[in-house]
Amino acid sequence: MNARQDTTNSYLKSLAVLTVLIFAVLAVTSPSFLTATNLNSMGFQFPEFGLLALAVLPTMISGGIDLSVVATANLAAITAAVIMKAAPELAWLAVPAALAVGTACGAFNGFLIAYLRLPPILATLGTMQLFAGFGIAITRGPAITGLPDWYTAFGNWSIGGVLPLPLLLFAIVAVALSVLLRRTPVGLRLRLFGANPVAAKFAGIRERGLLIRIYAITGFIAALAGLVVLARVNSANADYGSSYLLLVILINILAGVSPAGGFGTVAGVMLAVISLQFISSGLNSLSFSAFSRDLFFGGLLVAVMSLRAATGSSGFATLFQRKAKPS
Amino acid sequence: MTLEAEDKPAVLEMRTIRKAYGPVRVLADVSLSLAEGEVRCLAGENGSGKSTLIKILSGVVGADAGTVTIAGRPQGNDAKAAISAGLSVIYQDFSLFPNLTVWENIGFLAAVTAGDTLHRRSARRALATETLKRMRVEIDPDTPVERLPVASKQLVAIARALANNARIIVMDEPTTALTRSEVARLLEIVGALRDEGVAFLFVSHKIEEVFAICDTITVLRDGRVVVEGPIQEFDAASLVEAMTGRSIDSRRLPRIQAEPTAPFLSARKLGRRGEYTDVDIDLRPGEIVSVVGLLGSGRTELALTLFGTLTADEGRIEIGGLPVVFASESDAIDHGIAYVPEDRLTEGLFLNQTIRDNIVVSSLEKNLRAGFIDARALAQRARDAVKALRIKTPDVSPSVATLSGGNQQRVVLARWMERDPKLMILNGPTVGVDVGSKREIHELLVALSRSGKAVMVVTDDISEAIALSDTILVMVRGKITGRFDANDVDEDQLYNEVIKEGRA
Repeated sequence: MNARQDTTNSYLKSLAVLTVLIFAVLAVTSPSFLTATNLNSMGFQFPEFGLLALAVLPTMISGGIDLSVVATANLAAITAAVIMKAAPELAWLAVPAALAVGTACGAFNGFLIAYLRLPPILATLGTMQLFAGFGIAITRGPAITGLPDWYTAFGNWSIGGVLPLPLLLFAIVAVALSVLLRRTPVGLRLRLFGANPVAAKFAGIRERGLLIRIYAITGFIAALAGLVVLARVNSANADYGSSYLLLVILINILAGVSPAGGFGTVAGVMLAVISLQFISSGLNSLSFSAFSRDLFFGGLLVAVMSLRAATGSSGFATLFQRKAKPS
Repeated sequence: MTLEAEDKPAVLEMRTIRKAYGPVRVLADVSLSLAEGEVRCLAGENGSGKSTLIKILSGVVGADAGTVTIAGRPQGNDAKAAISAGLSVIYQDFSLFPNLTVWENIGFLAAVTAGDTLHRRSARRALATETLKRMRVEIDPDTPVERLPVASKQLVAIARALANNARIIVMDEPTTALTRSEVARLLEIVGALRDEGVAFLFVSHKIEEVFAICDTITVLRDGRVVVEGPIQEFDAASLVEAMTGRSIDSRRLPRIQAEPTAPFLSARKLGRRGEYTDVDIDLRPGEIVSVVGLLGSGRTELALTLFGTLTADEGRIEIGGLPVVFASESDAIDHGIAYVPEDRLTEGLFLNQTIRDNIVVSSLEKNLRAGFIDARALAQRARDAVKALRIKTPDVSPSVATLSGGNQQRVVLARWMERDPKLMILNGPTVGVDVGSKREIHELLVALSRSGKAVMVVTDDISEAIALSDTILVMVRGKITGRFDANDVDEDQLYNEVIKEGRA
């Protein structure tokens, strides 16, 4: 099913070439880059923001955005941590409860956007603060630590010592989301709705149900990311990973997702995630400071956006608009 | 008047203007000039390129090639420079600020051109009153514009242009919303201003308006100037032929007379406040009903109500004799109603998405297996539809933006035919479609209706209504004012019905 526009395909190809190029350069210049330790640690690092990037993808295809993904992930992690600490006999409930909280957060975003017609960027900016506020109210500030060993073991477990569990989870979500976007009516309608909401209305696409579903899916994936973080760092904190938000948007932009809606692929997001992880690890192994990473990523975001704006394939203005209503 | 105008210097020159949007050529080598004190009409059907030409003239859109010269100064893609050069465009909706007073509106443009940093209340108000006096118009300058009737708003828009020392005034379909006496008043004012040397360019596709106002005429068709000259060289028939490119268009399509059947959908006493009222309509299988009316007559609102986009305040809709209420478009679609919107580009199509997705979007459930889409079957169905409707494209994977207007419209038709609707509502089905395609789409619709579907066409194209329909309803100011059998009515008669002033 070749649903993508030709330009998206060629963009993906150049992104793939870029990824391979970065890999090759680092493999040659940095002696520690190609070691098993480094590759393995990368495998544990990128799934968490990779999952968050996948979470934002469907909302961006719909012409919206979800700024609350990181806050949602943290709230889900806090939920799980509280349950595990407070009632060890109900610990099995922790994971489903966290996923349910994430899904509910997403559905709430969808409600604000679909029913109250708030612009997505403002609605989720508000809920970002709201969800983070809930998290702080629950934890009263400090991180929740001291989780059961069986749970944190997941975060550091590699299958056969090679394939980190978080990486496997990331791969499963990527495949599932890809199938959802390309092989289900929801995915197809989502893309068309993102391309032209007015035409979608006249074609009989039920906008409200669609939006709520999309944002709920986003919340669900964000909660998964939160659970991965919880297992890996062994603590739940209301303001963990605040720098992830911009990184996640950078990934989607780099992935060729159109902020105006209608275009975006899971393959693009995977390539963008991997190439950014390469850059990040590479800078590390070349002993740049952690601050130079932000500088580098910020520069890259501006460069990619400018390049795409210059070639006319972008429309950021839509993020600030309400959905157009036919007269 | 015309001879005088020819001696005067040209205030506006457009030379070999070319413009394309993507693969779609909109204007090809269009030239147009306007002398001081000349009143020219730019005539052409919908989609002939009139509005694009105006946008290029006013500097809102850049041309691909060609030059625009206003008062001897060459213009670029700069709206503010064009205004400073003395050009003023009055759009159909007048672009006034409804919440501001008359004088504030009139003084606004002048204030912008003068680059006022502070609000100079008394000076602007004086300018406004003086301008109104010069036009010999009596409107209270302190009234908010929203409280004025349409005709007065138009005069305010003209006053605003004059207050800014406009030497060229472009008016887009100026008499659409006016009554006859108001049109006469407008003409008086235009005549007086013309004697002062102001040049006018009227954009219109209404024959009567053209003859009433203009000295000279330029006719656009499919992005080219087909004829131009003094108005005396034209009569109504030759002008229509120049605009449409044919005289055969209004010939009725051959058809078998349908047997009268029970209506699929009936509306009784349907009304929506401020838009239409007391509408009775019956849509029967095998019959094409046209609703003909001007912009703002309520025709589009009526169609949108039958499709569930708008809700009626009064009256009822029945399907097969049972009352229905549509909560949304999806409800209407579930009842077997399809709607082809007025503006194909913004409402009908997902322009940068594939032809395939544009065709199958409303019938995805046909190719579901256990909740997943069978991509191969879906593409095959789209290909079959392309073949059946003779859409000219090598495959279904290019984006729909690569197609011509007529083929794009067929994509929208194909989308609904995949659902096999019982009632098809089409709003302006051939707007911006070239002549050959127009005829083919008409034939398609007749065939569709003979296969037992109810068809409702909303249009302002009288010849289209006659060519296509079995029954024609005329809508004026929100009311159905006439019902005709398309066999027994001619264009002139219908035209007079459509432009009749409101009886209310």
